[in-house]
Formats: sequence, C-alpha cells, structure tokens
Amino acid sequence: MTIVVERVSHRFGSLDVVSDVSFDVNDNEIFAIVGPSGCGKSTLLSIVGGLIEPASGDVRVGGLSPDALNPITFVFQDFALLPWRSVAGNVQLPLEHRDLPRAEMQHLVKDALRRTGLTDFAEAYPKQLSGGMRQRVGIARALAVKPSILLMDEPLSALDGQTREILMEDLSGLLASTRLSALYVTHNLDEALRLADRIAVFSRRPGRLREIIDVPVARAERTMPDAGAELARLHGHLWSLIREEAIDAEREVAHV
Amino acid sequence: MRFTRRTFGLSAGATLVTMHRAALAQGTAKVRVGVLRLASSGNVFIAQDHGYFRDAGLDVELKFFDAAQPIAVATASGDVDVGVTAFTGGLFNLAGKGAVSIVAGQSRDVAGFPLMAYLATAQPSGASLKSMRDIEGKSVGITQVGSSFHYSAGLIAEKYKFALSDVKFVPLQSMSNVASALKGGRVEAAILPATAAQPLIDSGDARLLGWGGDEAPWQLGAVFVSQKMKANPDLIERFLTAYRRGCKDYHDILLASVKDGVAALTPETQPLLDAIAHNTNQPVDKIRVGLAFIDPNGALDVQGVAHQLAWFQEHGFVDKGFGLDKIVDPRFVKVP
Amino acid sequence: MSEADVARLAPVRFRGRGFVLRPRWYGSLAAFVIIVALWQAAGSYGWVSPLFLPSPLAIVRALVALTLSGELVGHIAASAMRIGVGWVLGTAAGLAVGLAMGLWGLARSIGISVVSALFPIPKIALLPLLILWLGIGEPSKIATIALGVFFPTTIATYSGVDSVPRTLIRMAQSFDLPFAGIVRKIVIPAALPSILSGFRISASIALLLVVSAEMIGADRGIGAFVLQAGNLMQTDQLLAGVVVLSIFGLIVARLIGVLEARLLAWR
Repeated sequence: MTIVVERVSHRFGSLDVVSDVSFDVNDNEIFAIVGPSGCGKSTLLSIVGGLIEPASGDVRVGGLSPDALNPITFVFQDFALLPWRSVAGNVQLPLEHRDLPRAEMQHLVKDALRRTGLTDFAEAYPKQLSGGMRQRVGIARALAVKPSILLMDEPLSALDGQTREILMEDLSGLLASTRLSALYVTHNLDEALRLADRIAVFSRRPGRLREIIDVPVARAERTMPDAGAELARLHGHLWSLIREEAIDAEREVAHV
Repeated sequence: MRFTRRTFGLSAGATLVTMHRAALAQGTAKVRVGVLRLASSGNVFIAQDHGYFRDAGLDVELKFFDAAQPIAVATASGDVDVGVTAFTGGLFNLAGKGAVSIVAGQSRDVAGFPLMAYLATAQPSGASLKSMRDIEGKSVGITQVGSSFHYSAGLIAEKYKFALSDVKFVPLQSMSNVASALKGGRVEAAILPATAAQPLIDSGDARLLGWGGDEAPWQLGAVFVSQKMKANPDLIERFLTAYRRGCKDYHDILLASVKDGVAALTPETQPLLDAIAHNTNQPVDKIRVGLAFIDPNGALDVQGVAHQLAWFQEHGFVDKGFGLDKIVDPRFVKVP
Repeated sequence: MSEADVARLAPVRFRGRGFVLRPRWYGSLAAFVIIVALWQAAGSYGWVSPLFLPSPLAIVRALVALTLSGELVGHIAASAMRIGVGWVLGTAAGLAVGLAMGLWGLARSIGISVVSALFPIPKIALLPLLILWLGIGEPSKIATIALGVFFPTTIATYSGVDSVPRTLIRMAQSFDLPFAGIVRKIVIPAALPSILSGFRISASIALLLVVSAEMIGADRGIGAFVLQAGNLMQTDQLLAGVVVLSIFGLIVARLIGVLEARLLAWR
C-alpha cells in the first residue's frame, strides 16, 4: 500500500489550485500536508481519493490489502454524518452494500465502536453528541471498512482546543494499532508534528510542494520530554516556511 | 359596478331613502329593476321604452344580470328594488326569510310556447330516448340542482309517475357546460331553454324530445320586491300598473301575431320588437322566434307556485316551515 | 471596599424584559370562545339578519340534521375519496418528477420550463378541458385535484434534493455506495423535510380544489353540497359545509404533523 502522486495539477475554471505536485507515500506511513488556507490541500486529497478528476497528472496506489472493504477511505472535516441515523447506523452505512453476512456486519460495527469508545453511544443520534464524539463516529465509520489508505481532511479543525488534544491522542493510538497508510491534511502544525512521519509543506495558491520534512522522532515517542526540543525546532522551521504565505493568504480578497 | 350600496350598515341609509321617496311620492320616484337580458323580460322592456313607467311617475333604472339567482340575492340585499325573473330555490329561501316578497307573475311555460327544451344527445348513447318520459334512468344535464330545469323534470316525473330519483341529474353550473356535455355525449339528455337548445338542434348535435310546457305547464317567472320597497305599497302599485301595460302589449299584440312560433312583423309589433331587441342587444329576427308566454295581466298562477314551493321543500332545496302565504305580498297576490 | 462603600453602590437595573414569546395555551381558546359568543349574540339579539350571517347554533343544528339524515357521511365519503386518490396520484407523480429534476440536468432543464409555464395556470380554468378529455365522472374531478397537487410537490421535491448537503453525497461516493443507494439512503431522507412541508401545501390545495372539482357533475361531496347550498341561498347549510371543510383541513394538518414528528424525529 503505497501512494504515488505524479505531476498532478488542477484548476477550477481559470483558477489554478494545485500545480505540478509529485510525492510518494510509503507503506504504513503517515504523511501530513500542511499549508495556508486555500493552498489546494483538500483538493489534492480529493484527487487522491478519486472524488475529483485532476486536470493533468495521475495518482496510483499499490499493495492494497485484499481484506479491505473500502480500500481508500475518507475522514471528513465536517464529519459528514447522516443526522437521521444513529451512531451505529452511521457506522453501518458503508457496510450495507457489501454483501456481508448480517452477523459479520454487526461485528464490524461493534468492533469499530469499541475501538473509538462509542459502544455506549451506539443508539444516540448525531445531534445529541458533541463535536468530538461526532468525529469519533466519522473515524469509527472509516475504520469499520478496514481501509488500506486513510485520507483525513482536517479531521480535527472543527473542534475546540481541548477536544482536539484528546482526539489527537486517540487518533495516534488508533493509527499505531492499525496497519495502513494515511494522508493527513491540516493547517495545524502541532497536529502534523504529533501524528505524521513526514510533512509536506505547500505554498499558497496555486498549491505547490515546497519541501518535505522528515520527523526524526518515532511516532510513539512524540509526547516524551526528550522529543520536545527537536519538535520545537521543527515547528520553528515549518513556521518560517509558512508564515509569509499565511499572512498573504489571510489578506487576500476572495475571488467570488 | 352596479352595486351602489352594500348590505351592512344599510338601515340608516334606507331610512333616508324612504323619507326621500315619500317626499317624492307625488312626483317621480326612482326604482331599480333587476332583469335578465333575455326576450322573456320583454314586457319590462316594452314598459320601459314606451314610457309606461314614466307615465306612472317612476324613473326606472334597469340593472342587467347574467342569471336568475343573483337577481334574487340583489333584491334581498337592497341593491335593486324590484326583481323580475324565474323562480329558483334561492328565491324561495330568501322569500321564506322575509327578504323579498312576490307581487306578480311573469313568464309561464305553457303549451305552444317553446321554453324548456328536452334534448337527447345525437351520440349513440342518446338513441334509446324517444320522448320526454324516457329520461327515467338516464343521465340528464342541468345547470344546477334546484333550478327551474330540475323542477320541470319533476313535473314530468309526476305526470308519468316515475320516481325523480331514477333520473341521474348532472349539475354542470352553466348552460354552455350543459350544451357541450350534451354535444360530446357525456350526458344522455339535457334540459335547456329554447334559446340555447335551438342551435344544438339546428346543428344536429341534439335531438328534440319535446317542450316542457306542452306536457306540464307552470309558472316560471315572478315579480318580487325588496323589504324597503314593500314598505311603500303605493310605489309597488304604480310599478305594477306600468308593468301590466307592458304585459298586455306583449300578450295582445306580440303573442297574438305568432304563427308557427314566429311573431309577425307589422307596424304594431315592430316597435315592441324594437324595444326588446334594443334591450337584449339582439337582432329583431332572432327575437321574433320562440317568444315566451306572459299573462296579459301579469297574474300569478297561485296554485302552480304553491305546488312548486311544496316540491322544492319536499326535496330539501327550500327550508320547510312556511307556505305560499308567507312569501307573497297579500296586498297584491290573493292566496285562497 | 468597606461595607459602607458597598452599601452606597447602586443596584443594576434589570433591562432585559420582554421580546421573549411565551405561548399562552388559553389565548387561542379564549379568542375562539369570544368570537363564537359574539357571533351567536349578533344572531340572537338580531344585530345581524340570520340570512346574512347564520348563528353558530343554526350551523350546529344544520350539521346535526345532516349527520342524522346520513347525508353528511355520503358527502364526506365522496369528497374524501376524490381528495385521497387525487392527492396520492398527484403526489406520486410530483415526487417522481421532482426527484428526476433534482438528479439529472436534462430533466431539470425540461422540467423547470414546463413547471414554470404550467404552475401558474389556475387549475379551475382547465376544468372544461379536463371534462372534454376525461368526462364528467370521477376521473376529471380526481385529475383536477391531482394536477393541483402535482406542481407544489414537484417544486418541494426538487428544491429538497437541491438542499441535500453536497458533503453527504461525497461521503457516500467515497464509500462506493451505488447510485440507487445514494438516492435511497442519502438524497430522499435529506430532502424529506422539504417534501413534507410541500405536503402541507399540497394537502391544503387538494381541499381548495375539491370544491371546484365538484362544481361539475357531482351530486355528492362536500364541495357539491356547499355549492348547492350557495345556489339555493341556504346560508346555514353553506356554513355547515364550510365548517366540515375546515375540520377536514385541521385533521389533515394534524396528520401531517404526526407524520413529521415520526419521520423527522432526528431534527
């Protein structure tokens, strides 16, 4: 399960959003993409996931697990839950058309709920849940289909600071215990530094790949005190890459 | 808009008008008369154009309506003072509540004067109808339930002793709807006034089964007055005097000249026909054909109307609990 | 601050009063009772002629008489059948066309122009045509109601489909849900609130149109009864029929309310 992105460009009308991007994601690697707002990182993720057709270039994947029910699976920024279905119903949705025996399907749902700590909330409806719990449902739904590649589009950016911290811990545990490759799009440097093996920095529109940075600390050791200094250094470096662009992006007047 | 005044908050205005009238009793009084733009109102048109109303000291203003029912309502609400038109269930109900009173008769459906045509459709579904009594068990198009047409059919049912409930009446609201339903064979038979029936017969879309008046004559129209007018018997008397002069001209000159259903064109009939043609906006040649019967004295067929009222009450179209004596003005119509 | 200082301080005046609506259950009931009482008084004391405005008591009497004679049941049954069948047919067609217009660009382009052209036509104006095509029996009456119901349902359905959050559809696509599955599991449930509020409108329209539909060739039905009472100036019967129509309307509104509570509990 590797992802190869080759010379991908995309435009919306006359607006270039992704320009000539190439990178590889290795087996069992978490690859973060950071960049200022509007740098086309979400568009790129949609292209990788087959939801948007690129104007040019292509994306290939290899070594997908034969067990995967939905090999390439998204986690969405706004959770994308069906408000008329319960938590269990939402997790079950992507399994219903897969020709699974009923017991198998129920087992998969139960297992996903257990791993995300949602067992007690199986019958609750999304509107009854906090933002953090809703995104847990989104993650449980993604895990239930046993993906080989997980595409996460700013999964924590709709949450408040404390919730985000808690979910980050949970997510890092889940990613460690599951064998998959992941693309993690975020504008939050702390999330990237906490979760990713490598971090790609994008320039603002049209999104261009500026630099790919290795995080030389093992994922499991990121919260340890020893790692603090190295991570702080990387944070400073990343910020220096992004700062000017972020200021420009913020001052931009929307082309609507 | 012809409704100059509305119904509510009328009493103060009415009092004023009444006083005004009384003051003018010796001179010219204004009377608004609701009529249909049909030749059957001919006597009113003659009285108007020949100055009979003026001779009686009345300034009559004719208000034209499209159907009989609204005339009854307008008289009840005081928008007109006198109504001259056909009996309807609505008229009986309004009269029963004292809103209008009947003071004289108008047209009658009698033998030899074609008025109510019984028609069969020319489509195959109408082939089995030979005469008027064959409407038993058939679908019959009429304008409205409780209309003159409905009553006429009731008389036929009485005469031939079949139950009216065995006729499937189809109310279609307007004469043009009835005509088109008959044309298209959507109903097997229909009852229409002569004016609407003749074109259908001429074009071969319908077959004449007979005329209602030939089988069962009855009083079709009446003159009725509003409550306000009723308080002024002198005014009614003067109106009726002029009205009867119109009836007499219409009967003695026009109807007397009718041969084979067509009135003659003579120096005597010409001015009468002109008056009718002028008020109905129709050519004289059309007016001459199929004139309705009007009694020369404008008399009301009291027994016939009593029967009519009883029939309407029996069929639930008119509230029960009052008789003819309640709806006529006894000063002008004697109920035995 | 010392205690004496605190004592000198002025309390803060509460200024947040008002502008919060608290429904009072007795309000509507009281208004109803007062209006009916005034109305009855107007009749009883002869302020208004019973011909122009029959009193509530007279209307109730007329209703009782109609019920006892069994006439009312016949009228209601005939109208309910026409409303029911017409509404179901119009709704089914409206849902199908509205869904197609929401899902396919071609259907949308065709549908928008057709709906815009035909919706504003008063259905009553089409009645003579419907009679020519379908006769004066039940089909033309049912078609009048179905036609009246069809357009608002179509519009409610396709605007409901339009309002389906785009991200839910992308989510379903990312899990490889088949087209039919997306329509059934995402589009229709998400469009349901709009469709149900369309039902409210179309049900009222069906009630309005039953009176027009029964103008032609109907000897039974609440609409025919109201028209006949009007023709005969039986004003108490007329209003009795109107009361029955209002009760119809209340029942239908209540039914749709129950349906909404059931189907849209997730909101």
